[in-house]
This record gives sequence, structure tokens and C-alpha cells, in this order.
Amino acid sequence: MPLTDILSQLRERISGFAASRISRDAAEDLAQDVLLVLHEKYPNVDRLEELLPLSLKIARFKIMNWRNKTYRRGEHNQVQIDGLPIADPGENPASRAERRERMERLKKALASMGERCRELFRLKLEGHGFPEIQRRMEAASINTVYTWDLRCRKDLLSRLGGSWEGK
Amino acid sequence: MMQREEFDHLLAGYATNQLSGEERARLIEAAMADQSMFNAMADEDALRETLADPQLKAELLRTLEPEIKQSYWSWLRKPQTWALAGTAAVAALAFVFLIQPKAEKAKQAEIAQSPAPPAPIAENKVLKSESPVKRVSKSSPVALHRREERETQVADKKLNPQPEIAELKKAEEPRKDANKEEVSVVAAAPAQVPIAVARPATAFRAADEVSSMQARSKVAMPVLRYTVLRKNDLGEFIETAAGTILAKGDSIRLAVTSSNRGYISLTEPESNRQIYFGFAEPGVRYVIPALGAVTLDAGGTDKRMRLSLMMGAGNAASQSQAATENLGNAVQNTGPISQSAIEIIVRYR
Repeated sequence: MPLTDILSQLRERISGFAASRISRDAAEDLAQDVLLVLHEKYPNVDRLEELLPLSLKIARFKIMNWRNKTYRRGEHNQVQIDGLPIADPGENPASRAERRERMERLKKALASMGERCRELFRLKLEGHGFPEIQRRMEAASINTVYTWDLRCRKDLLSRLGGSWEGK
Repeated sequence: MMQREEFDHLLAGYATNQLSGEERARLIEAAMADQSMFNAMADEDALRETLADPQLKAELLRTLEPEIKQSYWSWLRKPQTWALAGTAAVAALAFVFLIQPKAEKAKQAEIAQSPAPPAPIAENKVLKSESPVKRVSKSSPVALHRREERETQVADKKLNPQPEIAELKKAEEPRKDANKEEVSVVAAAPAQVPIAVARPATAFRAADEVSSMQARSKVAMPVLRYTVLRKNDLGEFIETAAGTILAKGDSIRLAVTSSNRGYISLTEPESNRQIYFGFAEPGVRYVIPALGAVTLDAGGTDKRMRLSLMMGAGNAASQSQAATENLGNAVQNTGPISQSAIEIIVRYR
């Protein structure tokens, strides 16, 4: 697939994703900004496998910045906003602190979960594949493990307030 | 088009980076084809990014570490247990073969030691001491020997009604006389004879003398050693050799070494002025006072100072086993346990 097509499709998906988090108008601008950052700062990245995680990361930063800014300006309850500056996607102290906070929340949420979910998550973090996890947890089938995993992630997500980012 | 179920299976391994390159490509392809899948993947990507930090991942793993159920014999499987047991065994062997024989020898030396010869200038006083050795096992040879000695002392007391303090005073009297004798010798010497009495050798001899006195009272006294440093024309404090004549107006400091850990204090007994007070590690040479100096006043002919070492319970705990045996009572006290003092007389003209 040509790069322009990939970027076009990516823009649409990012816009859709951002719209689930922020207002539709802001989401459109945000998607545009993400593509701008990709174009200006990462011109050498052209594979979808690399572009997608990168664009998601930029989009998260943009959403975070947008939220912070609108909250500071008291615009978080307004419909229209005027343009968003391009943010540096590199990690800054604020994002580091946010990640740290996210980790703390994650730790607390995991600690409050059931033993099976904790064990499953631990094995995943240790890098074991699902067949290995099935063997270790003595599950009847690998689909059982997938089911457990899905339920555990949903449970964990709900304990985190519906989002991994905690917003 | 990928089924949602398959997508969910792949997504399950996305955040924890468990997917192969092919699986990852398929997941991304599916996400690009469907907005709901894309949103789900975007959500998981936040988690993936968090878990990508090895430090945070390790932290999370520690949180998830299962609590190991301890079986009765599980402590045997711990390497720490074996290390601890080994250390204890070595310590026990060292005590049996090295420290105990030393204590025996020290004891024999105490018995064989005759009363001290006349002491020089410096004198050492025990300001506070209690009955010795409480830690030694009652059945150990040292304890038995001490019991015998106590019994002998009790018998002596019955024969001689004089109190122990009087005995100690009596023992100190020849010393004072000796001091006077040495001072008088110095005073009677010709003008070029060194006037500085506080010579290192004298101090060491004094410490030895004090040690013999302590042996009788069964309290191991710390040794305080000092030398007199005189300020020269360049403003440097130089150690005075034996035979050095100190003059009025000279500025001096003391280089002090203690055998024990404690607080060193240098005071002027006449005015009760504290010249220096500070913590001292054993074997470390301290020049005191660190700032300024003691000036030999024009009005007098000698400068009297009192150098003392005060040891606390913490010090006692850090002593060697032999010392601990001698200061066994000190280990059980919490406050300052003993103070050793030397009276220094620096003569000048």
C-alpha cells in the first residue's frame, strides 16, 4: 500500500479514536496534527507496523495536552477550540510523572484482583506465551486462557476507570 | 477479514509484547480495517508503552510475585540460612580457640603482675566503674578463677578491715610521691634541662602504670597517648622532642591518640574551662584544639590540663571480646560507663 494511502487511513482511524475521547472537532484537528508530526519529525518511518504505534503515541500526547490546556483555560466544557500547537512527542517530566502515576494505579488495581488474574498477568509479563501459560496454569485449553485473559483485562480496565490512561 | 475473537486473542499478547512479527502485522492490519478494533488496540497500546519500561515492569512483577507458602523445612533451602549457620560456627570456633586462651593468658598475667613502680607525671583515674565480668559463663575457667579471687578478697577483708578505697588511695600515694620526685628532679636540673614534662614516652609509661593499677581493680582502662606540639615561627605546630625547652608565651597543641572509642575532653582544671571536646576513634591521631592553641601564660611556670576520655555503652559494645570481658559490666549499662583522665603538666620558663 502506498504511503499516502496508509497515512490517509491512519488519519481516519486516529480521528475516530480521538473522537471517542475528545470532541469531534478537536479530534479532526488532533489527527491532522499527528500526521504533521509524523511528516516533520519522522519522515523516514514508512512501514505501517512502525507508523501505527508511533501515531498512537503521538495521539495520546496530543489528547493529554489538549485536556490539560482546556482544563487550564476553562475550555473543557466548551465546544470549539482554536487550533492546537504541535507538541513534541518526546517524553517530558509531565508525561513521565503521568506514566509513573499510571503505573501506581496499575499496581494498586492488580493487587486488588483475584489470584488467577494476578498469576496470568505475571506470566504474561515474564514473557511466557499463551501455550506456556496454559501449561503452567493447568488450563483445559488455550481458549480457556484467552477467555481468562479477556475477562481479567476487562476487570482490570474497569478497576482503572475504563481506560489504561486513567482519564 | 479477521474475526473479532482472533483479534482479541492477538490483542491479549500485544501489551505484553508476546506477539511474533507476523501476528503483530495481522493485528495492525485488522485494526486499520475496523475502527472498534483500532480503538481497542489504541487502548492496549497505552498499557504496552507503560510495560515497555523495564524498571516499571520489574516493579509490577514484584507486586505480582506470589506469596510463597512456607513449609516446615523450607528454611533449609534458603542459602541465607546456611550462610548464617556457617558464620555462627566460625565465630564459635574463633571464640573457643582464639579468644578464650587469650583471656586465660591475660588473667594469668594479672595474677603474676606485681604492684606498679612509681608513676611519672600523668595519672589516670577511674571515675566510674562497676564490678567486672558478667558475661562470662559461671562454669568457664575464667569465671572460676575470678570466683576464687573474690573469695580470697573477702577473706582478706575479714583480716584487714580497711575499705577498698583506702587501699586504692594507698596504692596511688607512691605514685604521687613519684610525680613529685620527678618534678623536683626537673626543677633541680640546670637551666638548659627540658622543662616540658609532657613527653610522649612519659605518657606511655604512665599508661602502662595505669594499666597495672587497673589490673588490680579488674577494669581495663583505655590508654590515652599524647604528645605536645609547639607552634614555631612559621605558625606550624611541630612535635616537641624530649629535651625541648618550652618558653613563656609558647602556643601548644596536643596530638592525642586513644585506644578506645569515646569522647575526648581537654579542660583546664583551675578555671574549669573546656578547651576541646570531640569524638575520637581508636588509633586515630587527633590534634587538639583543632582551632587556636593553648598559650603558656607569662605569669606562671606550669600549665595544667586535664585530658579525659569518656566511653559510652556504644563504645563498649564495639570493643574486642577480651575488652568486653574486662568491661563486661559496661556492656549492660546504657549511660557513660567510664572515664579515663590524665592530668598534664607542661612546665616552662
